[in-house]
Amino acid sequence: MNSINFEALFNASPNPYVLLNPSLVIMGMNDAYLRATMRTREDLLGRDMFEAFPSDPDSESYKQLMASFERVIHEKVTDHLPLIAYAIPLPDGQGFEERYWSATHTPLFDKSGALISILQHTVDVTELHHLRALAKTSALLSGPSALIETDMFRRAQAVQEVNQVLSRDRQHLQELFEQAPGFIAALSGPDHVFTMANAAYRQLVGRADLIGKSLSEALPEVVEQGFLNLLDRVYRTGKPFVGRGVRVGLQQGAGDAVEEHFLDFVYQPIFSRDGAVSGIFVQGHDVTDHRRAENALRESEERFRAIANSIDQLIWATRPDGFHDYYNQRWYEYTGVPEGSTDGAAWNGMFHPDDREQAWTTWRRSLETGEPYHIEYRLRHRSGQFRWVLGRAQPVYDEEGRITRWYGTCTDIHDLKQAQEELRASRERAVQSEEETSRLATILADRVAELDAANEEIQRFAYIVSHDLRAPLVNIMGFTSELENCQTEIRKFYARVEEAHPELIAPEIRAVVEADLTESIGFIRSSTAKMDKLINAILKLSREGRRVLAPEPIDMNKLLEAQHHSLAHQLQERGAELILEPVPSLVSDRLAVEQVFGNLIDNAVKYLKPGRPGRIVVRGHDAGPGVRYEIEDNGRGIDQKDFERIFDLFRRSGTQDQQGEGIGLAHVRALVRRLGGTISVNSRIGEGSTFTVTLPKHISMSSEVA
Amino acid sequence: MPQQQPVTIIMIEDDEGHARLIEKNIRRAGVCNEIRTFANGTAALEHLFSENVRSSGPFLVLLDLNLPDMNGVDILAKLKGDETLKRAPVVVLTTTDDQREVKRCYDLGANVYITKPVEYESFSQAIRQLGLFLSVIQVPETP
Repeated sequence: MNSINFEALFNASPNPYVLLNPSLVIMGMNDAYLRATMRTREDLLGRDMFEAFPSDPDSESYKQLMASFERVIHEKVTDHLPLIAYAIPLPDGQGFEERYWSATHTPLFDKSGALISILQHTVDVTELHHLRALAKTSALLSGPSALIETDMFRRAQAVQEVNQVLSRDRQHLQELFEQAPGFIAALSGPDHVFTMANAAYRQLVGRADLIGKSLSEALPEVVEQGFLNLLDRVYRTGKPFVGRGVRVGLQQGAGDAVEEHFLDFVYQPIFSRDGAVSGIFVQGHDVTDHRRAENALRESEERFRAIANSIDQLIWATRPDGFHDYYNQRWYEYTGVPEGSTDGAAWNGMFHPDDREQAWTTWRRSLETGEPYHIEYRLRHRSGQFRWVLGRAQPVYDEEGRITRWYGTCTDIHDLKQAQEELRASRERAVQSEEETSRLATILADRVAELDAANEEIQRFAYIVSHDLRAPLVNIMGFTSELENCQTEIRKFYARVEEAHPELIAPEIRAVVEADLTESIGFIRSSTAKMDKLINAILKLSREGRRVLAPEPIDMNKLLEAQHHSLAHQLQERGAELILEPVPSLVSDRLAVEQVFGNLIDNAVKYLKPGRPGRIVVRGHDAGPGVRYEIEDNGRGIDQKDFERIFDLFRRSGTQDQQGEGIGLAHVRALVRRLGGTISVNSRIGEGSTFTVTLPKHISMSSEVA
Repeated sequence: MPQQQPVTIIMIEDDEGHARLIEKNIRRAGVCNEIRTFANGTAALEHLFSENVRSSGPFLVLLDLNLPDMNGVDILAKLKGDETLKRAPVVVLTTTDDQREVKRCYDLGANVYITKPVEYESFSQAIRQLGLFLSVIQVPETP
């Protein structure tokens, strides 16, 4: 068999042919085409179709031709253009010549099925068109031949017009589909090859190269998700499938993570004329956001419920009209009432009768005004006790500013309130007690000042009195001495008279001179001597009160040891022993402390019980801010009625068989008080006495009256 | 006791008994100088500060501190504050031996401080010492 030379055949064909690649670049043409278009091969080869044959893009001709090419390219089907007006440029640039064409565009594929070129077969039908136009206007051409020609042409034109309408509709539909907010795709054949997919669909699946590909090629990730089976079923059964909120995982790009989408969609079978399913129409909406919002809302509600039930607060909610329709679990646990029993307005019955009206009024006011609800009331606890609760509520508004709900809480503030109450009461008490203390302190300070003044006065008084008492005493004593001098002179004279004239000496005179005078003077002298001692004692006490104390650290053990030493002779004489236990030391006035202990130990030695070996013990203990010293003896003891009296000036106790003016203990007490201490005695007659002296460890100078 | 310039003793003592006892004892100690006795401070100062008396020393002042009209310490201060009278020795006689008072008097220029004793013996002794003192001191001449 001879091989056929297709190129020669192509070139020899009387029909004009031109070959375009998918980009509409002219790749080749035959001689008939060059003749028909009045162009040369060189002029056209390699040029864009619309560049070689320019046309206004808004013109009907351009749109028709372009639409036909696109149809071939996209749908990979042959397209016919029965009649198209298309002007072609004249060869020598003398303008355009109006021509009418009938064209067929045929797609050519390579072995893999990819479009490699478009073959245009075009026929110049200008003559026919003119004939028809002539026939319309002239009756001359009414012969059968002309009739046939015109009739045929009319049919061609009618077909073309229908095609044009169809094309426009199709275009319109395509645009509608393309721009539709929902996703739309058309699948063809049992392998579900994409023949159409709008922008929403392409966006959903995240890829654009769908047309001509089967579902499993285009969207491999959905095969395993059951969609292929679904489509197969629809194709097989011819029954549509409606999916609601169906979850699908889609990869937006290669290597991207699978993204979850929720879709509402319909698989609608497309039937061919013979009633068999030829494809499937897919359309639907991506409801992912809606679904997510729903899920989020549900989760949020669940979370709210979980939180509301888990938190230690009573939570409730009401409708805009104030009807209570929700309480959390805690409310029911707290109040112990059955669930639902406090819905509506029944909540008010849970309050203390005294608080109901107030709560109701406040709640009503909030409902009317939208002001947040805030109130404290007593709520009945499941124990039956009314507990103080803080109630609060806030309205929630919709977009139009209407209240949609009220959310409220109750917080048990009973303990807090009680604590506050107690705190307030205790603060009041504290303030009162502080005021009381401060009042007492003021009184005390006043009293101290008064006492100080009185003390000062007494000291001054004692001083002056002693002065003034002493002045006459000096005279009494002085003139008594003068009298003694006189007595001496009188005695001398009396002796001479007795010698010279014994008869003159009467017994009365003798008594006067020899006894009475001496006796009288003797009493005067002893009395004044005693008075002088008393005055000196007063003076000493008043002076002691005026002396400025000089605090210094005192080693009490050493101080007592020194006193022991100075008493050694007396102790030995009386057969007594002084036992000094170790004692705490002090910071105080040394002279005063010496006098206190000196006097007390001296007294103990002085008033021992005759016939019993004396035993005097001095001991001391720490007593907080002070030191407590004890001077214990086994002496004659003191009658209990004299425990206070012995500390008074000039007062003594028991048998007055010892020297003394009743000054020592008065002096000791005055000193101890000045040092900021106390002194007391405990004793039993015949058994012994214990003097207890408490002195501050550090003498306080603030109590000192200079 | 021979004295070129007899010292006049100015005794300021409100207690007549004391004044009498002091005088008696001074005399008994052998002091024969003139003794002018004043029962209050005002009279004594009036006398001492009078123009003819002030410059007619020498004086020795026996001063009791407890006076009815003024404190003896004030009198002491006045005397020691005067150009002429400050040369006169002052013997302070009191009934007490308050150490603060003693110190104050010496600070003001008192020459001797004597406590009036109740015991007559010691009082006489003190006065006798005073007499001895009076006999040995050299009273500066008034210029």
